[in-house]
Amino acid sequence: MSFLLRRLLVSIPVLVLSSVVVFFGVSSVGDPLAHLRVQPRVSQETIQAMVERKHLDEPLPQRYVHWLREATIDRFGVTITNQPIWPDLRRALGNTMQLVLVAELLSLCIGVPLGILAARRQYSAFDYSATVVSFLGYSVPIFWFALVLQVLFTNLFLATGVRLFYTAGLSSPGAGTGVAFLVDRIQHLGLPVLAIAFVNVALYSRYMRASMLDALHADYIRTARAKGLTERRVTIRHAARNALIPIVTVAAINLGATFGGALVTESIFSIDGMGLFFLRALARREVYSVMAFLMVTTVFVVAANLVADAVYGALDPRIRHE
Amino acid sequence: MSEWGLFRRRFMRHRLAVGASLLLLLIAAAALFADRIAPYAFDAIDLPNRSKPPTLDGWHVFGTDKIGRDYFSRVLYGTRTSLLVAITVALLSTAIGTVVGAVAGYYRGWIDELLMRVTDFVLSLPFLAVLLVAAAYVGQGSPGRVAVILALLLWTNIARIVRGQYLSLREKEFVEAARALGATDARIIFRHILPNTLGPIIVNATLCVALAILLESTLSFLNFGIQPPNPALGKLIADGQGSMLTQWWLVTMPGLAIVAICLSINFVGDGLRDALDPAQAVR
Amino acid sequence: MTAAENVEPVLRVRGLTVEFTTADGVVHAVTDVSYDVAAGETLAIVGESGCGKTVSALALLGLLPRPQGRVSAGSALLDGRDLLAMDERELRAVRGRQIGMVFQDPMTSLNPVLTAGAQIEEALTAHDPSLPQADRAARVVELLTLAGIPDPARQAAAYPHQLSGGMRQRVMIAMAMANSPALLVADEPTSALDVTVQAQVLDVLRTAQQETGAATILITHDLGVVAEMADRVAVMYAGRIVELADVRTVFDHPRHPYTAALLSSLPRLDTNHRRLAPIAGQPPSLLDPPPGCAFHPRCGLSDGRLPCRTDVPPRHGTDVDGQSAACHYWNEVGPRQGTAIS
Repeated sequence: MSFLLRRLLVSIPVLVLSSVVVFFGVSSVGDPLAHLRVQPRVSQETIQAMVERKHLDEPLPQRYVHWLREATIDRFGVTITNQPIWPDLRRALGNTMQLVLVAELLSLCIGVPLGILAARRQYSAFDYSATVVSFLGYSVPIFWFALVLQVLFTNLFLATGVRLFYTAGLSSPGAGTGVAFLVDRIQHLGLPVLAIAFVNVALYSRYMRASMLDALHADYIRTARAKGLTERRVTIRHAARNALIPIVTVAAINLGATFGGALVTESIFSIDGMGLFFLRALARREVYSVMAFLMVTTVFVVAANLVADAVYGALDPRIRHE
Repeated sequence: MSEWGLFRRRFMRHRLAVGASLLLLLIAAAALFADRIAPYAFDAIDLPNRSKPPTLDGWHVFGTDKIGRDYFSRVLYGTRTSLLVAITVALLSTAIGTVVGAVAGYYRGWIDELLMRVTDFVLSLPFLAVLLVAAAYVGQGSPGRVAVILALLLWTNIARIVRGQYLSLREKEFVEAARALGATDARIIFRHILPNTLGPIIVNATLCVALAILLESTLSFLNFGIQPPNPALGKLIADGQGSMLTQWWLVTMPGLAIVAICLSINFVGDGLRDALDPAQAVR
Repeated sequence: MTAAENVEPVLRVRGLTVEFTTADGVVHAVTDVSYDVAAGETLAIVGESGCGKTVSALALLGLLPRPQGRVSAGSALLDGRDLLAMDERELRAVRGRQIGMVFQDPMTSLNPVLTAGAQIEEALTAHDPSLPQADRAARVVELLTLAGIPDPARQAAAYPHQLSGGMRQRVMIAMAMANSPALLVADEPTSALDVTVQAQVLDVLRTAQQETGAATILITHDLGVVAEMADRVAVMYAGRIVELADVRTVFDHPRHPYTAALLSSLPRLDTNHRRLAPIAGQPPSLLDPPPGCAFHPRCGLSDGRLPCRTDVPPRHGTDVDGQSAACHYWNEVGPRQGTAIS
């Protein structure tokens, strides 16, 4: 427990530092109102009102404090144009969470067993094919893979009239409730999840394979066999149990990349998630929305790392007793 | 047999890695000599021949785009840009990461703590998002700027690895001997310990090139990376997205180029890893 | 103390030969090894690193690294059944049940994420899955007590990294003895431990053996341990057994130049030698063994005589009982005669 507490305490300054760096970085490289100033239909008074509301005439440190207050108390407050940020962000967040969580779970459930099998059957045809597929996973850009999937399934629909997976959006209108809704959602999320999961499966299976090979060469495996245990028990209870430990760290570190993948995938599949939220805000140079996005994502990554630490502690008694 | 000879022999055992290196050399050479090889200039407009699928007619082996530009030439030039950017990124991030890792691992104590906190911090930033923000506000446009921004985010992996190496190598006797002979810290760090860590550094630098290509093309795809008229593979794909159902080659060809390069790099990197550290190659 | 006259030995090994296929060729790790071990008896297998003693033991349990290692010849009869001819399923029934094995480094030989008790329980349930929980826990405590571990109930819940080296090795022994095996194989059980702890662990081994009447194979490079624990000794060199006799005989009157040289090289407090007497030269490559006796390049007795250079010496003397030595000139080996350093 104290181990987790320590990790939590360390994370807070990281969060604060992140926000400071990003805020200063984003705010100092341009005038947030530059967009609007050049628009003839926006009056000087409107602009002046915005400046005052957002304290844009004050020096950066004070602006940061204003932002911090708004962010924590007022749920990130409003944009330059006085739209509340939180409702859109929350909706987008919910959708992205579905995508990311499902993709992560799927990747782990496929990647880990794949790695275990590849390690058990080292140098077999299975192992070599798994290796090639993993390398492909490392080499294919997610956005391109997503596009290819879109083309494939759209052409499939055009050719056969069968809608296996949707290539845009999150739900069909009138999708109903209960099971029908769930199926519809799965059909919409299927391809984006696949696009993200492909890379992650490659990563996890490769690391699991390496980790398993390390574990299988350890002395305690020889002891386990010498006790008369079945190979299955040796593989799972002894080797895999130990091999899983580093994978937790890999998954945690990879979460940031998964978020990035989700970002790109959402824009291609027109999913109303954090990705679209962020890209739109960025295109409009909407500083406060961008900040909100970055803070929320950072919080999630930090939280995920804490979860990973907890799982790590649960799996490895040596860490627990430190 | 010399170190080099042993290394070569071990590397040659990986047929896949050897094949991949050849492919890579081929692609790199083609890209480098793009000016000579490309049948057309990458911006040579030829309206009568627009939107043609791949054909041997007129040597449009990758087809043409909406305004008749030869796609093979465009992909070739795009490859050149991407490769140059990626190699720059790899060199830069390796340099930064090595220095950070070496200093942290060698001095330990509070320097190590500080540098590791910085590394953790950089790692905790949501990658692509920060990249995009940086690109949007600062680095858009020139390949140079994109390269610098990518490098500033990719050095952490190397730093961790190098630090680990220095932590263990600094305890070895040759370091003590060097110190006894009056070598300065800087000399020990760079002249004595560094040559022993080259293996993992090289492997990582190689893999970094692949990662950089993927990231740079993603940036270009989202229109936050290299801007026209500089050709970029990601941008080509983005441009072709609108008509990809009918003019499939617009999206497929640049993508295949990326896959081919990255795949080769990964195989080569894997082969290098096995060849440079035989202890690992047993598996 | 010596093998009982009319009782079948628990383990009867004949002509065991193990090869490893490597990228550089075939390594002859073990060649033509034969010995018997009787119930209640301790056979020590001695030799320097790389002489094949561990490999020969692993071969008995089918634990050679696959696919490189394989038994190419020989038989190993455990209570009449040939271990080397068994398939994986049959071997699994033997491992941990009729044969218990203790390995060298207890830190790496125990699973770091499972408690000591859990690992001992595994040894029990692997061969008796229907054993009720309460009985299992009780037996674990019983075994830990037998191994001399204080507060056994609490230590059973401890993880390997929380135990000291000596304690871990006791856990290993408890685990090996869990099903009262007929044969106990201990591979360098004390080599990774402090000298002070070594004596304690050896005591535990001896107790375990006496309580169960198990036959014991003790693999070691430490002649002190041999003197302490063994009834009979097999000396191995370059994959072969070069001498086999009861412990007193081996120490007082070795019949193989290598054994004699080994004994001569031991530092002693009771004589006035000015220098230690190591054995000059290196053990031969097992990849491409030279013809003749493997020891002859380093043998002071051989003096380059012809049979030593061309013929592998057979075992002279009473085979597998009494004393035997694989040397052409075994009769010429005086007490403590070996190679002299120049």
